[in-house]
Amino acid sequence: MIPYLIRRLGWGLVVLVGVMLITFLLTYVIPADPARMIAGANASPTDVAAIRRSLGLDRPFLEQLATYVANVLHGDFGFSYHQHRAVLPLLLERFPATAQLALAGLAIEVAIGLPLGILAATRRGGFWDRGATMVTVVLVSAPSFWVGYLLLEVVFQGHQSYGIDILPLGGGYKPFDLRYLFLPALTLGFGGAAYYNRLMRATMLDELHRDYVRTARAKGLQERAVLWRHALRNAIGPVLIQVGLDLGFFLGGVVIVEQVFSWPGIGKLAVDSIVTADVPLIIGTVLFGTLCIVTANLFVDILNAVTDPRIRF
Amino acid sequence: MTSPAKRLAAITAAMAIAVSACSGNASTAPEQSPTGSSPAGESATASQPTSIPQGGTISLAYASDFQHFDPAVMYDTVGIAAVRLMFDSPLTYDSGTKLVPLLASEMPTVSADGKAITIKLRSGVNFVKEDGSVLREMTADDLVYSLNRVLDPNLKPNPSPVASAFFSNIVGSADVLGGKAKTASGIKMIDAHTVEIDLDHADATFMNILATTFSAVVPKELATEDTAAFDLAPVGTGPYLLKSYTKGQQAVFVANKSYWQPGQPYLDEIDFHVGVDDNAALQQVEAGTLDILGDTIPSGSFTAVTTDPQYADQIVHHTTVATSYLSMDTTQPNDGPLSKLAVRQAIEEGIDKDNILKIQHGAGVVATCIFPPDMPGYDPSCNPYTYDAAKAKADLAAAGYPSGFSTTIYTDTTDPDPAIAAAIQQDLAAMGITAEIVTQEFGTFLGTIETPHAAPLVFVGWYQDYPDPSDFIDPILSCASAVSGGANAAWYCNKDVDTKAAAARAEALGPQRLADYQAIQKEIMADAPWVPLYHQDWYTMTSKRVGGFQIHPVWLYSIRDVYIKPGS
Repeated sequence: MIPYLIRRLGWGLVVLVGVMLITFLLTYVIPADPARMIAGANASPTDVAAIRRSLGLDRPFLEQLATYVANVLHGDFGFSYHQHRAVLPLLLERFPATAQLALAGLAIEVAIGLPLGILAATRRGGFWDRGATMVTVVLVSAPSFWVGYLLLEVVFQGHQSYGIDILPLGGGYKPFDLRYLFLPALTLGFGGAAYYNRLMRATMLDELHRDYVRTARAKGLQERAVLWRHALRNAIGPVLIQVGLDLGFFLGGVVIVEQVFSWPGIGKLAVDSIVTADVPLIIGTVLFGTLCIVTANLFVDILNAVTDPRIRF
Repeated sequence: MTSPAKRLAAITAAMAIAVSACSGNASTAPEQSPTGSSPAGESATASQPTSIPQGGTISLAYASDFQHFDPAVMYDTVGIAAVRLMFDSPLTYDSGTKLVPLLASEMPTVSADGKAITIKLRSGVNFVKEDGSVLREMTADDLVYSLNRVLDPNLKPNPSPVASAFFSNIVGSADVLGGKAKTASGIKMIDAHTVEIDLDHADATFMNILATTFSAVVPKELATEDTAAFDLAPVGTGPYLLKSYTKGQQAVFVANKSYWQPGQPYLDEIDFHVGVDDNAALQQVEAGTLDILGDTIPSGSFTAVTTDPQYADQIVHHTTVATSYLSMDTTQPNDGPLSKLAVRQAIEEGIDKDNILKIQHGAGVVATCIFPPDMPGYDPSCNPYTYDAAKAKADLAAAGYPSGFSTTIYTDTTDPDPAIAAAIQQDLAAMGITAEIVTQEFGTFLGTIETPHAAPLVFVGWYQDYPDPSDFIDPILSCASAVSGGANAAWYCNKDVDTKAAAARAEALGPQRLADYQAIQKEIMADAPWVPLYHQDWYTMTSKRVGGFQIHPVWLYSIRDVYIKPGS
């Protein structure tokens, strides 16, 4: 177990360092002079040169890289050109918004996807199965920016035509206000729900065809008990793994949904940083996203290893 | 004053510059109109060569499409650039904010009681159809018709968004607005070239209304109640004609060879490309394949482009007649902290405006008072509070809040407004005030502002409707505007200021009136309802061959003044 953990940790680090290198190269690819961006449009060439020196931009590439890696390891992600603040506090400030959306979106995915999947598996080929498959195809095919704008339009029309005033129009954000959270979470949940439905159906069907289920039924166990106590328990494993992976992915920033609903999370920050060519912030958001995904992967692997006795190292 | 008009007026710092509509309704006394001495010169801009070259084609690109070409309902940035090519109003502005006659042959005369305005129109001005043929000569009857048309509640598909806000001071306008009459009794044709407009109460700002595109003269037989039809085939008296328009793609304007002003128009053709991404448009201007960037320089390219020496003579910018500010709820219920003057004054000292301006790439000037540069009455010496974080914290403690308090900042979702709100949040945190940020879509946000005491702190901006200082007091800082549905985000009401503002509005134009407005501004700032933050610059870029282009304080882009530089 311990060697396995060390190996996994090692690979996680390799991924992080790789991403760090690639993002660092961005500073050289993007046609924006960091010193000029920080100094502003009205600064004199002398000021710009002074900033360039103070940032160490006049030093050799490898030296700059080493400084950068050392800074990141010390939690210094650099200084945003556009917002004129350190990157890490900016990321941490945006994190609660993204965390709310991630958790709520995941909850909706699971709340819609799992029951549909179970229903489809237990009534294979019947109305529920076909219905669930159809819903799945629609949900999977509908891109989240489209679903998002559609939901916004529905709310807008409801307000214009019928005076319904429950949800805020056009998105926005208020900390821990469910009215603002509802539509973005629903949009995020819709796409994922379809995936969970399919996954749940497949793993459930897999389990329902196993010998122990036949034995349980032969013993005269009630179908409900067969389903919930035996089949579901075994089928839920892959689903839980997926939940863990999704959580890591979402926490890194939900780019499209946050953009559509002007949700001030990490994803929106990433888009804004790209629009404004704010290189330190671009690197910061990418690294943060990577860190979330790597951590989630690691966590899920460990959890899996601990809970599933079939896994050998 | 209806809310849609105001909604568009209270724009954000992102400055979707619109010809926003709102007007104060304070009663006014007689005021003599300014007399315009300059020739009816839309073309009288500062940097023109003695003889302006004629001919050629220029192109512009905008991200958004046109909403309307009909001046009665046109209400957006892209539209105003086009409508001012095709139509003329009785008055206009010189290269600054001075009113000058356009279709009027001289500045209108005002009766002694200030209620009757007589407009003498030029003769020899023709309506010209899109094929270049003359429809007929414009007469006073057309101005009478055009003004009544704006008031018409039956315009289809929608009535004019500014009818009640701008024109309800005309005698009899209520009957037209209410559908009881077709024409307002206060709009009278005296003879073929003279119109008299009677007002319910004297109001100097009505001259500014006569310069808006809503007062543009349209031909009766073509501009019917169906604005959608007139949008498709607009005909006016302006220097250019709409040759073709493909929705979502482009509109082509060609020279009106029968235009009444000698020497105009300068160009053969003007092509408006719409639906063009601003980054793509910028690249085209840099490459010289596009002449004018319709939108501002995109944020990501701003510093690179504006500091590149090779583009130095192609970057055009000017400070807009707008103020972005943090409003504080001066009458916060339950004895809230912001209801205390000392607390608001401490906050005035605690906001680092230079830092906020940096988020805007430094494109603008720090605001120290209410009126922006270019607004008559602008007072650069008005600077009652200076930034001092330590003093702000101490003053807040002295005001009874040594450990600060918790509050909320509201702003809209348009970038960079949330980032600016975050900068304000940091400054407040340094004073010990914990502020939560709520971002809302612009329409919802305005709803919040207009709901009494819903938002303790608001980051928002105000762009002029017309260049008169009353426009920065009456609609946003008067007692009348501190009501549900009003645009007074600070819920500020000072009866003394109200009385003085009503008197100033009634005064004759001139230095005394402006001095009175400056005194009012100082009195308001002493009450600290706002932290004025900055006046934003509009930055754009043209190709090397474009001449006569400037950012106009009222029109933003005045394309009819543009020509191609000799030798390019």
